[in-house]
Amino acid sequence: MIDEHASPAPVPVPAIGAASVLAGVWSNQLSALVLPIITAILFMLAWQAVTVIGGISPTILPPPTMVLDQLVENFPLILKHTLPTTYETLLAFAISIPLGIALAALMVYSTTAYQALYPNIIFFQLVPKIALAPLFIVWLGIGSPSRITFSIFICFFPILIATAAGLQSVEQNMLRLCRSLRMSEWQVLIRIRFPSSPPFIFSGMKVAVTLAIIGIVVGEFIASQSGLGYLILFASSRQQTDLALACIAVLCVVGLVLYGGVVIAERIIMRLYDFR
Amino acid sequence: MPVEISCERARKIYGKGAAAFEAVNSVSFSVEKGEFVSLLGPSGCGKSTLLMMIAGLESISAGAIVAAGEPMIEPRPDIGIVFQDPTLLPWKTALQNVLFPIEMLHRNRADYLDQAIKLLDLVGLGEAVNKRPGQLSGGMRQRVSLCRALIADPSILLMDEPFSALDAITRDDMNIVLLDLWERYRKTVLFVTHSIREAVLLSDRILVMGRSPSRIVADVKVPFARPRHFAIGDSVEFNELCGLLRDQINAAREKRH
Repeated sequence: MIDEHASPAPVPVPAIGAASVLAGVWSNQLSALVLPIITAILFMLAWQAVTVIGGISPTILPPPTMVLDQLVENFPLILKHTLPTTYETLLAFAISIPLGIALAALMVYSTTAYQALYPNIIFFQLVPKIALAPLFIVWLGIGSPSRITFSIFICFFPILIATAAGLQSVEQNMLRLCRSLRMSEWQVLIRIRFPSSPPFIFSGMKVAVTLAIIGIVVGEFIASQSGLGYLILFASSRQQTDLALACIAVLCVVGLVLYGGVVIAERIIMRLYDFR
Repeated sequence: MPVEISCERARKIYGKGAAAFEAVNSVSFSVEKGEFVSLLGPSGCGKSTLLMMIAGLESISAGAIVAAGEPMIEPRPDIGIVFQDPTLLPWKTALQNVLFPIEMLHRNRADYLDQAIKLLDLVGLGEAVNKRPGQLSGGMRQRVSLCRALIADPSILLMDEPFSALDAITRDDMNIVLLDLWERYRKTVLFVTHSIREAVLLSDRILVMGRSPSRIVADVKVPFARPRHFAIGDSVEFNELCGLLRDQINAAREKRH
């Protein structure tokens, strides 16, 4: 007999065990972490194998172990040259942030300033700025001011462009609301545009911080008595490729630390402003 | 009842010469104090432009608009506006967002704090006053935006397709919330929508707008008694009125061809 009031049989749900879910998460996160490391190690091993087995002259390409030896052996020397490079990079970056933000604010606040500056800024973006580096030495001498100025010159652009985009990212209806409340342009800038911009400003800062290092190192290449750029040039001229590569490795670490600093600052600000 | 909003042959023309485009073509109507009027029409008929002109946010090319006894020449804080998007500040809490106009109008925040909490409570956000927009759903954000439009106690509330970005179920909820709020405060409301059922449920009167020329083609009274309940949507009269309005919109569209 068929019972018409019987509730339909429950459709069996495939059991997703906690263990298998965990395994899925694990393998995904683990592979994201482990795979790049494995790739890097394989690359290093291949490098080592090619240079040692292939009998490539260390002057042309030293194996990674030799670079590591140099790093350990000459650590005090490398560290001595790391400090001015890091210090000058930080200074250039620190100056370019308010400079880029202030110029962006001026351009968004004043239509006149926008029209006068923006096309020129785009034009300057197209200039291969590295090519101007020697002129900064001519203008400002061989000391650290010329390197810092040059570095600011190349790294404030991304901050300026990103901040301008951020300040202009406010939606039209938001601006209408502001107008209906009779807010002044200045109030809109301070109360609405600026607080809306951190995500943009930080993306500009991430690009800028890597350019700041490039600016300083290029400056050191051209004229300097210290800094990692100087040491790389010095080592290369004496065919100490292993020392040059050790310096480059340290430059990478400096770059990574500075980039990490920006990312941490971004996290803090984003949490403060609750952007999602 | 005295007239609260009046449009006298209001026109909006964008551009000049051969490229000129007429977004609003000589629109005349008036809204009485405490009346809920909907501007209903197909998209692109100029109803939102007209609303922005009434808000003082778009210039008037010809004709005149008078709101609360004064000609509309610039935005006024005694007119509350709700946009299609909630336009909330993500770094402020719901309560801070509601009080934002008070802050910007340099009024004493303390005088409005109780009212802000009460409004949020009325729209069902009593528990969420200290949450930020990122923690709220789309419907909840639009409720905050509704409270913000009401906080300065405006005489006129202008709403520009406020629920059209929401899903159908949330939209129904929002209609009920708006019916309750209107019942309580009896503001003069001008409500732009392209939903016929929404217009019939909420309004005392519906102005049907046509497209090119963009003008009012019908002025329909909605006879249902207040306070209204969502269930009137099931009645025969309700659906007949919806059908009538649909015919009028279609007729206005066909005339074009």
